[in-house]
Amino acid sequence: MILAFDTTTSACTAAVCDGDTVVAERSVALERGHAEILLPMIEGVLADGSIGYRDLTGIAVTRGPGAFTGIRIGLAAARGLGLATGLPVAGVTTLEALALTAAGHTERQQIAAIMDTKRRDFFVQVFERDPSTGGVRSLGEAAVVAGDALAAHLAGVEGLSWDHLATAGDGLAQPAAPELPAGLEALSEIASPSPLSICMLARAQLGNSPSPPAPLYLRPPEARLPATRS
Amino acid sequence: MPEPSSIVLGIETSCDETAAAVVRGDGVVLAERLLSQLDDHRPYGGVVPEIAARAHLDHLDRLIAETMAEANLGYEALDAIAVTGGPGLIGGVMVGVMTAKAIASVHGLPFLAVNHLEGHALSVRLTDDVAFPYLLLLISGGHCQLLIVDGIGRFQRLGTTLDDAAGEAFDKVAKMTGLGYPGGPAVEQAAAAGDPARFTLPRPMKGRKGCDFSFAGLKTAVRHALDRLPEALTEQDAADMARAFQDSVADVVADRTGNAIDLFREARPNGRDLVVAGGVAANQVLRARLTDLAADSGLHFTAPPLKYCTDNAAMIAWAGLERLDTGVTDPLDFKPRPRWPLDSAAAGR
Repeated sequence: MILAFDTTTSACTAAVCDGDTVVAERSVALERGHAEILLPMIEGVLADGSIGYRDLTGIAVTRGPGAFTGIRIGLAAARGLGLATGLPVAGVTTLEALALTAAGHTERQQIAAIMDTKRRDFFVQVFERDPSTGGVRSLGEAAVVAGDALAAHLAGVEGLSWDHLATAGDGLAQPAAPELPAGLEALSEIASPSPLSICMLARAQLGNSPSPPAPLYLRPPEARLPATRS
Repeated sequence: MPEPSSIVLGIETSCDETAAAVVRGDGVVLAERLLSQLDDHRPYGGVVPEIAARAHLDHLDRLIAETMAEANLGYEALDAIAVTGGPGLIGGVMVGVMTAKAIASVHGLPFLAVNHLEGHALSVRLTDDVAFPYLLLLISGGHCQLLIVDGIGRFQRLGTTLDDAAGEAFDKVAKMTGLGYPGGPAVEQAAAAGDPARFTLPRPMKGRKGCDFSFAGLKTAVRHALDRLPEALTEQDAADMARAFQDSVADVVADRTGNAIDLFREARPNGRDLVVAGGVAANQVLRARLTDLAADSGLHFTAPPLKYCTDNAAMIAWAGLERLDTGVTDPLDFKPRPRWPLDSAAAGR
């Protein structure tokens, strides 16, 4: 059984999954406060499923992109749980988990995960279904893209077809979101990854005793070098 | 005093040191690890919060594992987890708090969110036999306050800085004079070769009633004096300015602490000790002034060893041990606090 959680989006979600079954799940929509509710939520999920930490086989967590603080809340908790339990910890990107979540809600072959960065641009990555695994595989790297460059960025992804494309994530739900060509299917209601998607993506890694998962910020820290004194 | 056999893991991530320590109630530090991020921040001339937060996440779990291994303990042998819950740079505090909550949850251990300032305030009791009440000067890069320490969670603040912290002023003056970062050691070293009569700087707040500090005007005075230099800044100019600045800070701190001693003696006639904590307590000139000041007033001056004056995790573990003894623990929905005055009656700064 895998404990999975996400604190990188506008929700805090935790669940325990056994194979392809969600044993227990809790989720709360919120912009702030992940640090307060995460551990009580995890304990609640374990209690819901009458599960103890010792029944788990691994920890799965989203490692970004998203709010920097949200990324660290989840990763610090996951790495702390890994220390305290000795269990392997796997990190999956929020974009891939969003795409895999959306794949269960559409017939489309391609899925663009588009997240609002809250800084007038978007975290973007395009995926396509992978028939060999039943999951998704990426059609390009994760990127930070300005609103007015979003259509061009997507059009530049090799193999992208608007008529086969669905989008997931809260990016296109923003009032300032750019117009994209007709033909795509926008699944903006899928704003956070499902815990099952996180578990499924993590499962492959957990077998290989992964090192602690690293954050995916996609942006350097904001810091200015001081002006040199003349 | 804490139960002598109790063992607490302490975690500190509120500024630019990532640290873990395992401390026993009898004052024995079983193991400790500290990683300074100084080199990460040096190019910026100060601590960059986002860089600090990222570094804490990258290193904390490994430091804890190493600390526990050196103490030769499993988590089940601990009596509690103590972590800095604020005040400080919130991104870093979050990393420590979430890690501590996770460990506490797995092993069903009491979770203690420690006020970083209380960690500093009590650190002297980890190494020295100092009884409550005592007078504390907390002087660091983030704080400059005078407090009466009456017990665990029982503080009366007598004064604080109205603007910059003392360490912050050292950093800024070091930056202006090209002495580098961090400013404390750089200014002290340069000042040793400085001419005390070359520059005359003001003594902000000196002679005024009360125990508050102000360093912003002093910093501005340094800038103006440097701007008036006819030629480019020389090494000797920097040394002379460092000396003038350090002398001014020492005068001001001695004056304000003198007022605090008068208040302390009147309010707590049984009090015997003047204690200093915080990174600026490393300054030898300041220490000498405080030692003299305490002796003149019949108080005993104590400074914890330098490594427990600056930010560290042993002091957090120790504050946790002292708290554990009172039976008050924190819930796992504790919210990290970027601002958290020690004296809850002293709102604001």
